[in-house]
Amino acid sequence: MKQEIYKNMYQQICMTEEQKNSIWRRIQAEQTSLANTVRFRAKFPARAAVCAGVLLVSGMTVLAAGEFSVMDRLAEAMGFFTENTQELTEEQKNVFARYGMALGNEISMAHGTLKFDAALYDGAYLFIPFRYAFHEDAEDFAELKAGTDIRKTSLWNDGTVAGFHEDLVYMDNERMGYRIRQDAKAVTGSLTKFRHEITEDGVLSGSVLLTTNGDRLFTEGDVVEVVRHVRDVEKEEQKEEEIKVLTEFTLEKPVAQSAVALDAADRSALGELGLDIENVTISPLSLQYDGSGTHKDITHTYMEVVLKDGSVVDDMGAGYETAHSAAEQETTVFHARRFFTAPILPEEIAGVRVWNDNAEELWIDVK
Amino acid sequence: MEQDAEELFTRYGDMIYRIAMSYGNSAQFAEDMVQEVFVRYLKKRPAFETREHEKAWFIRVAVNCCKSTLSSAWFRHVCPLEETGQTAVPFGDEESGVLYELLCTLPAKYRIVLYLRYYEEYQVKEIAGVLGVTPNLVSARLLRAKKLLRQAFFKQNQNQEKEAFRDETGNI
Repeated sequence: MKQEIYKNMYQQICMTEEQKNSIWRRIQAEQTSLANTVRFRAKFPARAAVCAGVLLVSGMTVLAAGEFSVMDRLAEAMGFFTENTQELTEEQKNVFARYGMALGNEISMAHGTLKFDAALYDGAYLFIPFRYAFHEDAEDFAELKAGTDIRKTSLWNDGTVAGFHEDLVYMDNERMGYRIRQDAKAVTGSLTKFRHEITEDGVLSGSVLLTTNGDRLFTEGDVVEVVRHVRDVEKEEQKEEEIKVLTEFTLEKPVAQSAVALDAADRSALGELGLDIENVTISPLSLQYDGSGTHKDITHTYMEVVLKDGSVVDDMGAGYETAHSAAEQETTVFHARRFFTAPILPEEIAGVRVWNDNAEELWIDVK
Repeated sequence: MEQDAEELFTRYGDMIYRIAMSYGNSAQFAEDMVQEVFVRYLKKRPAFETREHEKAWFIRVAVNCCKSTLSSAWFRHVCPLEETGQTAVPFGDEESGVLYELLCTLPAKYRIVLYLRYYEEYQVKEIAGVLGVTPNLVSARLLRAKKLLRQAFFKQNQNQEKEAFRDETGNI
């Protein structure tokens, strides 16, 4: 095939002026934040804003007795979030019952009220189902009947929901974020998904999954603050963003985690795959491992948990945190984690399978 | 500073967008990657010795951003792209549209070497440097990519011929 054909095709893959302007505006917003020495930064990629939605709010830890079962709410929310279609066993549901926290946090926002129902965490991940009830005087409220697809209402606008996204994601000079109060540590990652179907009149429901960067995990007693960053765009001399704490809740008992014992042979074999692994940890919710390696080895070496019945635990893909490095050949420390699509039970775990793109494989027994 | 970044955005924005399209095959993903690469640039503000060095940095960071994002938990769990209506590339000619469709059947590792070789006109050694792999591997991927493209092309033609011979009942 002639090179001109390739050139002609690639030449046509380019951004429209509208796309350029939109991206440039977002970059400028990030640039301003960086210049203002922002201490707490929650990033909202365009994809999240357009597709799923992001972030939330909260209030106080109160058991909403009689309104819903924490176990059922978490099981239902996690099933939707991870797209797990397998029915949970009673033992799996017990993980939610045993470790789930009931939250009754509410916050009134411009277009609706956000309610946190429950929470569940294991150190690496904090999972929080929520509901967002539109104010009854909101425009087009009458359209929001239970069972309606939000995408078929006038609130749907090119992937976003009017009011909902303004409140929970980004609005001019304001944005939502989370942090841990004890050390003012900003939560570094968040993913929010909401159901397109309105679950009860005027209410959208969904969940948010939070992560930290690996060097500071969620622990019992942490006070998680939901904050709003406010920047006065008119005041150029303003160096710091104003941060308002909207609400907070305290983390109770985490889901139990256990370290996988690595012997010298395991470490040596992992080293041959290019990874110097410090720790491998498994909880009913996730697999985590950290150590060092090149960017290439980190992202091209994979781990999965295998159960005693031979089945592989399904997860949502790997999330990585590495030291900043653009070069693939440089060694960097990293923390990797995988969120399971459904809880697993420690006694059912047989081991961890590790492999890479060169089909090199390693088995680590979990005892 | 602002002017500097804007100039770089004008210079490399589309290039990063094409690289991201090679990996993610989605306009939304590509937009995110353009944003992410420039945010990394603003955070790091690397000093470039030459224009080539500058370009190579943006390519390398774009490639790394794409790979990291595609392997992250976040990426796999967003709404289907068709909801945003931004998956299609509006080609002005049929030939480009056909080639793009064929390219989309290839794994990303092949698409990126084709892009760097035939659009950016990088030499095999330069591609190897940018991607952090050996020149031999780049050569092998180029050969394999072309072979796969040929196969995809013939397969498509075959299917079209079969369609032409298919009767009303669906039999050939």
